[in-house]
Amino acid sequence: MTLIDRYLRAVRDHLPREQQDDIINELSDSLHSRFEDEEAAKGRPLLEDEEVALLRAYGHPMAVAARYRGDERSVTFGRRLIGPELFPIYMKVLAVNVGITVLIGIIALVAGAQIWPGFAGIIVPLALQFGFVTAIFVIIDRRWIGDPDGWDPRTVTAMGPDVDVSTFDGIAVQLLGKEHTRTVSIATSILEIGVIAVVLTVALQIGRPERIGFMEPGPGWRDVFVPAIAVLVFAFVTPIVNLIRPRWTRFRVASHAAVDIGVIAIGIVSLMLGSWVVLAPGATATAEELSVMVAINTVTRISVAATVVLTGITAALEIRRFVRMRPG
Amino acid sequence: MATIDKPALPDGAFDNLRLELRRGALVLAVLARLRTEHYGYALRKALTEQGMDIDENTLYPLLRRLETQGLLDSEWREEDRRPKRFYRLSADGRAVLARLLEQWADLDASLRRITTEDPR
Repeated sequence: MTLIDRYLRAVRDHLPREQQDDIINELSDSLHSRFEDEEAAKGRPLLEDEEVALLRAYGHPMAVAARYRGDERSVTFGRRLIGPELFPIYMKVLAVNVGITVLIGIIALVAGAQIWPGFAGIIVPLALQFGFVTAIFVIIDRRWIGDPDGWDPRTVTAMGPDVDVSTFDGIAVQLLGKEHTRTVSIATSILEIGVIAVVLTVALQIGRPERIGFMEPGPGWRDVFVPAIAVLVFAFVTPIVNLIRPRWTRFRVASHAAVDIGVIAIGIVSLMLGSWVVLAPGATATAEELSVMVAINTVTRISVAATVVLTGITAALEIRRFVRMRPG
Repeated sequence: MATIDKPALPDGAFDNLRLELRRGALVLAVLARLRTEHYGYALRKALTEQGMDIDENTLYPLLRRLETQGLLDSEWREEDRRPKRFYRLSADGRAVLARLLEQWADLDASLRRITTEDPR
């Protein structure tokens, strides 16, 4: 695949679907014509560095595609913070985060849990999500999109699947997502950051409450809370590193495997410790309330056990993937 | 030789003003140049050679917008073993160009009067 092909595939991903072929054909002609003019002027084929310089001058694929979308919306506060190139993705990530946070809040309220003290409890995580996501996008806008030297046409990637997969790899793709053999796309990292940010915020919000009605957190919850947060923070760091170093694909796979192993260890310890909610000291409970407590512990035990088994499978796939990936 | 001091504006502010000033002129230049048929890359070169530098990322979306507005017609044809999209002014485009050129002449005359008159 030539640098122009790679570049055009990356542009294509961000274009309106119905105009993709038309625009890419026109851009292809324009880029080839420009390269040919340069070669004619120099009297020789272009060197790779010269091709890279021309493509950089043409602009980041997301910036090029944004001009065709005709959507000039951006986030500005005195100066541009998030430009039209990233704005549609920013809105999608915000929508995903807000959707998940609101859904969790509603489920918690419907279940009658004391974890979220009323609807107002949703506002804090929403504000945190907004701050997290906006800060990340501002950094991306300044570091990659706005800076002509902040990206490399040799490593820019299309988001479409371009890896041949066997049946077993097909299962891995279903469970783990597309194999990133050369680079991790910005979109993948952004999505991971968004999802993990939601989970982390919710986990920190829930925390280890001293008392939940007639119950309190049991050892299966209380004693594994800090290690679980540590694993989440580690998982959160991985896509941030990949935003800065998209070619660190082995790091990504190794990090995912490490997170999986952490999740398995925490799950096993939690299962060994047993109860996730226990009767609070001095509290009295009716037989019905006690049966609710038992049901919560049973459902949690099954969920944790299922998570351990599934994570074991994904860990094995990640380790296999890591071994098969050549360094560099 | 007289020199013009660089304007004391924040970074990028002057560029924004310059871009605003050029925006309308670019449309006029593109429409005028497409009285003869061109494909995108050749049009850009022709404009640049005549002092109207424009990058592809501005030109191509502009061509699509003008075509959507009915001011341009286009067709794909093969040339130099590559498919190219050729643009030309439509009948509506010709009428609009004539009116815009009149407007431009009026603006030019007004600006000349305003910028050359004694400021007392």
